[in-house]
Amino acid sequence: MKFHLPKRVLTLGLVGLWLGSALSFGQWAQGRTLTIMTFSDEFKTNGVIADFEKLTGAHVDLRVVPNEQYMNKLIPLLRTHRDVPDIFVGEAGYIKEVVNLGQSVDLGAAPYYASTVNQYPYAAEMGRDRQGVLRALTWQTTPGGLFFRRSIALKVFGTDDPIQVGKHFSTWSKFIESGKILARHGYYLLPEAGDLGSVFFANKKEPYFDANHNWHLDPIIKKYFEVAKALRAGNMDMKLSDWSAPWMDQMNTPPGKAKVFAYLWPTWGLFFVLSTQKESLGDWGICHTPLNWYWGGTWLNIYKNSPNKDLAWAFISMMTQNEPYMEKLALRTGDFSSDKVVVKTIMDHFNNGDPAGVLGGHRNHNKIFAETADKIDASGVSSEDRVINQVVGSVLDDYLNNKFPNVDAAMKEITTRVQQMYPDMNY
Amino acid sequence: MKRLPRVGYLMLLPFFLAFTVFIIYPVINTFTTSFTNDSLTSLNPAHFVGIANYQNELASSLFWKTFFNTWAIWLPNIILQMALALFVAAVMTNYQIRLKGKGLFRAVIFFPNIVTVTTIAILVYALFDWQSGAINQLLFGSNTSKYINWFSHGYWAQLVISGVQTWMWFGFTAIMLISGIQSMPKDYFEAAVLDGASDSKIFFGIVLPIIRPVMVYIMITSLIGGMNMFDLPWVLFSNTGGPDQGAMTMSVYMYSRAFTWDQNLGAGSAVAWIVFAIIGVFTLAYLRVTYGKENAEETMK
Repeated sequence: MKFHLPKRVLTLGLVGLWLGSALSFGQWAQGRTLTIMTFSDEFKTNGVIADFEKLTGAHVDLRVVPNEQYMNKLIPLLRTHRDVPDIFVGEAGYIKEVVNLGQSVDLGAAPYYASTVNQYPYAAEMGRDRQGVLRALTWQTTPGGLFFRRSIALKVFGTDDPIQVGKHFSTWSKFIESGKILARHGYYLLPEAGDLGSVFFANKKEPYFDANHNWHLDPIIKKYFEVAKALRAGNMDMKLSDWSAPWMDQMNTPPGKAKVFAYLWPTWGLFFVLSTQKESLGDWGICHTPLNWYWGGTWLNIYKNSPNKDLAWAFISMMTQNEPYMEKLALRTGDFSSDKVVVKTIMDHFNNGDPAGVLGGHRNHNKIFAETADKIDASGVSSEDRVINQVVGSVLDDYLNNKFPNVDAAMKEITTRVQQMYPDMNY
Repeated sequence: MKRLPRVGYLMLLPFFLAFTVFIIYPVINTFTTSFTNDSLTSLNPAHFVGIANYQNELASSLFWKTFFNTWAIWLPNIILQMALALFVAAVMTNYQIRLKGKGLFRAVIFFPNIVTVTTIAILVYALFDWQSGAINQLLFGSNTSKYINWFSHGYWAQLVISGVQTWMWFGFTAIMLISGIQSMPKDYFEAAVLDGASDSKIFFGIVLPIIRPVMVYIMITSLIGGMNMFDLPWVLFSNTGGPDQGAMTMSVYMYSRAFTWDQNLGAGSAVAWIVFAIIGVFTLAYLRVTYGKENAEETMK
C-alpha cells in the first residue's frame, strides 16, 4: 500500500526541519557580527571566514592592519576600550607583548577550558603570559628545516638521501666542516651567514628582559656570531642580502647552475616561497638543522570586555580545538597544524612530498617538521624579541664586516645599542 | 553687504577645522606629551615628568650620532644638488644655447621627484647590490676585487642616500631656479650683453644676486626636509640605522623611540621638539649669514 503525504505538508515539514536544524545546531548567531583584527587576509583567502559564517550564521568583520603597524594600532584601542575587536592576534615576534597586556581572556578557565594536550608544547607556551595563564591559541606551527639542493648534495656528498645528508649537518662543527667541503667544490653553504638568525633566536633559553627588567644576553647569541663568522671566514656564504633579487635568483637557479647549497625555511617557506621557484622545483631535499627552530606563527586572543566572547570562542575553538575541522583546514591550506593528532592523522597525505613538487616526492616534509616542532622550547621568548633580534642582526652585519676586534666586543655593542633603545631597563 | 564677511568665514571654516584637527592639535598634543612618560607598551595613564625626556635625549649619545648622520647625509646632497641645478638652469635659460626640447628635458629631470620612495628603494637595492649591481659594474667593470659593498659601512650608506636625494631633488630645484631666472626682466641681460659682459659675468654678477631669494627658499625648505629625512633611510634600513647605525637620521630615531623600541611617546615627542628647535636655529643662522641680522629677522616674521 502506498502512503502519500500531501505535498504541502511534506514541503512545510522539510523547511521546518531545515530551519530547526539550522537554528538549533548551526545558524545560532544569525544577525551578529564578530570583529577580528589581524595583519593578513588569510582567514578570507583560506576559506575560514566562509566556513565560520556558514556554521554560525554570524557575519565576520575582518580588519586588516599591516604587521609592522599592528601593535601601534592595537594598543590605543585597548587603552581607550573603544572599538576594540572581539579577536585580536599576535605574530610570533610580538605575541608575548600581546598576552602580557592582560587584555585577553583566560582561555584555560571557565567557560572555555581550552585544551592544549594535543598541541605542540611551544605552540601553547607562546600563548601564555608571564604568570603562565593561557591567553592565546594557534592553529598552526611553523617549524623550520634546512632545504638543500639534491643535485649539489649528490655531487659533493655522494648522496641526496635527506637522512644521509642530514648527518653532515647534525652539529655546528659538522655544519661548518660540511661548509668547508662545499666551498672546496665551489659552492656556498648558505646565501648569507646571517640567515642562521631564526635558528638561534628560537633557541634562547631566557628572555632578553626578565620580570624585574634585568637584561640578559643569552649565550646562544654569541654562538650565532661565532658560527656566522666561521662561515664568512671560510667563504661558505655567498654574502647575498636576504630577500634581495640575487638572493631570490639563486633559489630559482636550475640544477647544475646553482651555487648556493641550502636555504633555511620554516613550513611557510616551502608553500609560499620555494613552490614559486619554477626553475628549481624538484631539486630540493629537507633535513634537520643542529638546533630545532621555528619562524613565524599567529596566535588568537579574545578581548576580555568583548560582548561577543561566545562568538569569538566559537571561532577560536573551530580553529584550534575542533580536530576534524583542523584536519580539513591543514589539507586545504598546507599549514602545518599546531595539533599533534591532526598532524599524525594526515601525515600520509604528504608521503609523496608537497603538492607543488618542490621536494620532487623525495621525502615527507611533515615528518621532519613534526620531529622539530615537538622539541622546540619557547621559554626564552620575550616581548622585546621583535626589536632586539633586529639589533642583533644589525650588529652581526657589522661584526661580519670586521667592525669589532672580537666577538665579545660585538656582544658589548649589542648591550650598548639595546641600552640606547630601552634606557629604563636594568643593565 | 554686512553679511558677506560671515559667508566668507563660513567658507574658510573647513580649512580651519582641518588645520586645527591635523596641525594645531597634534602640535599641542606632541608638546604636552613630551613632558610625560606616555608609552605605547603601557595601558596605564601617563604621568608628568617635567623636562626629564628633554634631558635624557640631549644626553643620549645615539641622539647626537643621529644628528651628525643627518647632516652627513644632507650637506653633500644640498651642495651637489644646488650645483647641478644651477648648471642645468643656466644652460636651459641661456639665450645663446637655444636648447631644443626643453619641455621634455624639464619633465625628465623632474621625473625622479614623482617616483615613490619605496620604488626608489627597490632601485637602490638593485643598482647598489655589491655583487650584481650596475654601479659597481660601471665603476670597476670586471675587476670584481674592487667592488664596494655599499651597505657594509656607515659612510657608504650615507653617501648612497645622499646621492639618491640629490638625484631625486635636483630637477625640482632646477625648475625653481629656471622660474626665478625667467622672471627677471630681459633688459638686464640685453644691457649686460651690449656692455660686453661675458656669460660668466652675467651669471655671477646679475643672475645669482637676483635669484638669491629663490635660493634662500630652496636652502631653507631643503634644510627642513633634510633634518626631517625619514622615508628613504627607513625603507632601506628600518629602525636599525643600517651599518654602524650610519643611516639613522634624527627622524628615524624619533619614530623608533616613539613607535618601535620601547615605544616611549614622551621621549619621541621631546625629540620632535628638539629637532624643531634645531631647524629653527639653523634657519635663523642661515638667514643672518645671507641677509644680515635685521633683514633675517624681518624675513623670519
